[in-house]
Amino acid sequence: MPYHEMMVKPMREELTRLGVQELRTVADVDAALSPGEGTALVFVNSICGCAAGGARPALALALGQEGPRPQHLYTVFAGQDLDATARARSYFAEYQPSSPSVALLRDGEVVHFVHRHMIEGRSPQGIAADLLAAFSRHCEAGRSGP
Amino acid sequence: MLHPEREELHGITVVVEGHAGGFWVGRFHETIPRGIVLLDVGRHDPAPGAPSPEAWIDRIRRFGLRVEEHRVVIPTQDVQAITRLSDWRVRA
Repeated sequence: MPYHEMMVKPMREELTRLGVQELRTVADVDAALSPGEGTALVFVNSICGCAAGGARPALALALGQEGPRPQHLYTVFAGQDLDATARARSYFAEYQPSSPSVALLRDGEVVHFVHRHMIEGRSPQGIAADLLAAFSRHCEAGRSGP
Repeated sequence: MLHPEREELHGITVVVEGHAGGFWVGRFHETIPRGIVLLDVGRHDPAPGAPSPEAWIDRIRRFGLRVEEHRVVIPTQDVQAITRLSDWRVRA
């Protein structure tokens, strides 16, 4: 059951203020992901304090660094925007649902996936380092996002 | 007796290895008198022809866990080892 929007708003804004585009509807998701061109990061946000509370700052740290980064940055909110989240997960359907999690797609193919179990109990710095390594491997310099 | 430090695993996805060869993967929740409580749990299928526990866990590490049960209590005396899924290594 979704939480009251007032509780969730700060968690949404923690990402949108980084330039991450929130996808709230199925149409939003399809418009963003169906072209399948370039590199796109999809952050599956979560109310979970222990895991998402580390993952959101980690993304902020990673995006704050110089270097390659995904061309497109998107987020859906698990447990809140149910249809949009289910639709987003259909674009990386070989991966079991978990939240928070992060999918990195290149030309519509998943090239890196960060499961919840790779986030739990870790510092934002450690998670950010993993994201940066994935950006370096899969995102071209000079093809930066916002 | 359960170790107090296990409670530090609250919210962490773990592999529980049982004395009788059973394997579970789930999110550690708490210890209670009856045993340890896991949430969002999958259990290795030991049937002939099924993947080995190692292969099953490696697949979970790559593609995530398919949840079969929301809550499972594993009796303390059945637990041989608890390992963070992120720390899991196939034993030689």
